Amino acid sequence: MMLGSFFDPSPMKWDGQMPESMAVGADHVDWVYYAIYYFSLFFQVVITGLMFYFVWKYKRRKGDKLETPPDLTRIEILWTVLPLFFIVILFHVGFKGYVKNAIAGDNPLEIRVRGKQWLWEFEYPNGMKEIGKLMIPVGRPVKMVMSSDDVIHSFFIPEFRVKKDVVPGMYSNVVFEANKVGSAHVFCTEYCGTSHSGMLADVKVVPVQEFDDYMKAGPSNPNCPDPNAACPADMKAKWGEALFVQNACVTCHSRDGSASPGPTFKGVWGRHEALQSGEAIDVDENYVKESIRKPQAKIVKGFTNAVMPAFTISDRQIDAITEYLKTIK
Amino acid sequence: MTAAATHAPAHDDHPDPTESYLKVTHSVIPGAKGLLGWLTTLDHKRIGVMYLISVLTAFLIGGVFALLVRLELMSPGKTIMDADTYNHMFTLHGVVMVFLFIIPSIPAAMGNIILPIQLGAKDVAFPRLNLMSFYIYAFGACFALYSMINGGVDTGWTFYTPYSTRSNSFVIPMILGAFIMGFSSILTGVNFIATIHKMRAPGLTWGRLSLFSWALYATSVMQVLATPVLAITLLLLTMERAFGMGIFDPKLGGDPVLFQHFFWFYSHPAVYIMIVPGMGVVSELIGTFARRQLVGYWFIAMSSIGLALVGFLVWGHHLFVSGMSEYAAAIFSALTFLVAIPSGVKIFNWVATLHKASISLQTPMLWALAFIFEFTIGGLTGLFLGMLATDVHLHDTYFVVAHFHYVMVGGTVMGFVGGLHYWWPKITGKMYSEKMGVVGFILVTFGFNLTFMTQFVLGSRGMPRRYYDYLPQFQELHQISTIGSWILGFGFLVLGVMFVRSLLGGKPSPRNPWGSAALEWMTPTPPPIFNFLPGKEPVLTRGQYDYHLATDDELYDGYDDPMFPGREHDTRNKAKPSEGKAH
Repeated sequence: MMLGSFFDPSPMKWDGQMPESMAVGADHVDWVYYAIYYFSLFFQVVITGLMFYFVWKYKRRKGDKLETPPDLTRIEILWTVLPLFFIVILFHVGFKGYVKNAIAGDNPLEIRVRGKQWLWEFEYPNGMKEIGKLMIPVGRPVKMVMSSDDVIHSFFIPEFRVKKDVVPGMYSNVVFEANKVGSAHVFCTEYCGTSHSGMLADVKVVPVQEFDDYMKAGPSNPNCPDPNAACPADMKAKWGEALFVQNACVTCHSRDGSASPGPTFKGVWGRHEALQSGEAIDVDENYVKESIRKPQAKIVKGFTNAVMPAFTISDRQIDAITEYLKTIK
Repeated sequence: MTAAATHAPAHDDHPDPTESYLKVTHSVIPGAKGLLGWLTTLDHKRIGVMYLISVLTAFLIGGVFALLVRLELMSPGKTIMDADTYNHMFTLHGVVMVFLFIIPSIPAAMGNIILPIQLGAKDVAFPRLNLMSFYIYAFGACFALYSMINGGVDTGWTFYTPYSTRSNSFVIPMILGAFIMGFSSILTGVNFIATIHKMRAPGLTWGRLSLFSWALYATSVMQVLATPVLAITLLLLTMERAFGMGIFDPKLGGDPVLFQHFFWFYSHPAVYIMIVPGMGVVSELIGTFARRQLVGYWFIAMSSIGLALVGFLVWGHHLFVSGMSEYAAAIFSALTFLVAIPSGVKIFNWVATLHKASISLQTPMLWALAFIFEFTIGGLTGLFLGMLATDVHLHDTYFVVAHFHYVMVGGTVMGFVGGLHYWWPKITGKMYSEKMGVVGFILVTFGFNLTFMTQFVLGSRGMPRRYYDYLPQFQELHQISTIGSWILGFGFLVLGVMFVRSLLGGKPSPRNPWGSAALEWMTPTPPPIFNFLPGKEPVLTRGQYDYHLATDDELYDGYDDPMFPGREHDTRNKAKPSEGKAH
């Protein structure tokens, strides 16, 4: 019984090694982490302490005799067998925490995750999709159902202590239950090419009410979200800019002329582009639309390294993005 | 078996068997001299020296890539290169360091030079095969170089599919390079196994084998058994890329996780191919500089074999978050912990050997002590990664990067550099400046710990590896790490200058500069062409660490103070280093 309670997680004082803990299983992981940390520190100090002591004590002096060591078979057996007990305990604690974090709570909220080079797309049960932003209700089990459109990615939220590869051709799951309102990041931790380090998403853990409201309202756009209202060009451009960032276009298309995985959008409007096929084209409304819906149709010469995913966004949103592209000079 | 070795003198040329191997050789082309004599040599020592030059060149190139990677990470966003260049840099750093430097470093370079002498043999069992292994390595290296010159690869040294199937960088020449170098590794392994089994001098029983030989034996077994799996994997990957055969890419009906299983089935044993020889070197250094029989000889020897066996059963711990089943993960986690036992046994025995010893802190010993310190950190941090709960958080973060650099650099490279210091006089016949050696040692160990200790914290805090850009909260630690890498690089530069100075104008080494009881120090320095003088082929009556049985003649030679051999102020007074040659 005592041993059982000893292995139960207890809140650990955060001393700078682990990020803030924001999910239910995270405390156990931290407990395991610090337990093994002090265990290791102890052995490190004992081993290297003894080593330095011996080096100091038995430094070669004149008149040293060359002795054979005594028979240490008993000690040998001791330090061969004793670590077995340690590792059985270590395995047990590590496995326990792992299993705990692998099982979803009752009636979890299922969020569909698609990893693409280089963005995260989240689809909520009501069909709402968002790129680069993940809303999580606090205190409710969540199950991420993940797949990849291209290469292997890995879904990692340090604050939740969860990670799982997102593999093309199969579904993988991550489960967690956030227990703290706040913000965190999703990182991609499986190397996936040029903008691997740009494949991030913001995580917002919010109270359940706020989450439900958000699900009803949908993602807020700065302007012109109402399909029936008129939308002047400058407001359209602002909306387009928001969409541009929201859909992670910014990850691959620079706006200041610097080199990026996709063509830069500085002065893109009306530009005469040579294509990979050998033809050429002037950037206009039709080319923008086609490139968003079918990115592989007409690739600008020299940009075959990165494969842009297709985006299913409305005509109105494409109009707004087009309006925005005109303003990047 | 040693047809080439025994028949060579029967040709037109009769290399003087008492002359140093640096001056004469027997070769594929009888009578070849100069550069040709080196390139066509059948002498294991010369082949070893050619390996040594190759791996040191690779270490330099890989090191420059590492410094560039660290420099780029000095600030978030672009510092000196764009994202694609950065991805190429870290990939090339990994590929060059793993395949061109660290795998052949100790076994092929030092093992070739030292193993046959430690066995009391004239040469390895198959000298021609040995030369062929070197040329296969060089051929593979050419493929790698071809890929690098044409722009290199950006897949990471692990070549994970389907990214490596789709990347438009020069993947095929690079993996063919690794594929070809694998054959070199296998053939060297076969050669060493045969040599250890069949070429030991009279009286050199298994129980008197040096621990370096035991380590190379374990390594050779792994090389022979594991490398073919890498070869198959890389070949399948080439098939997929070149002919669109669906093996790993799900778009073609393949399984990307299968690649990871195949890859780590080789690459995890490869970790032991890298570290076990380093442990062997450290055992030699501890024995010599503690001047004492090693505590637990059989335990150290068998722990090498143990690592070789257990190393084959733990590849799955690289796949804990890959979508493998929870049960498989549990089994692999449990097996992984078994690795701690043979590793721990070695460390305990080394430390115990120091108890009541007579310890001389000459430069090679400093590296051995640093090995114990750094490798213990590397081993203990492995516990965090073997434990499932913590591995999920730490997987593919800087924690992993720091962990394997503590094992590979803090372990293998420290063992390699220590061995280089230790056997340098034997190989070149020259001494080096101990003072510069100590300065270099302090710079390297300090710089190394500064570089990688910070990376443990970066990883725990959630910084993923292989990131070109990072969030501002990580910048401070990245900067400390980068500054550490400069100190580390400068330390190696000092050591490089020290060795070059030694080559150009170092004092001649006595026969046994460290007062070691091991067999390779019983023959002239540098050794003659067939390792031992005619009529003086060794017959062993004691083990390699039996200091209590060694005679004064064997241990003390060519310097005036038997307790402090090799000390500069001692040799300056009255010793005549050339006396050593007379032995």
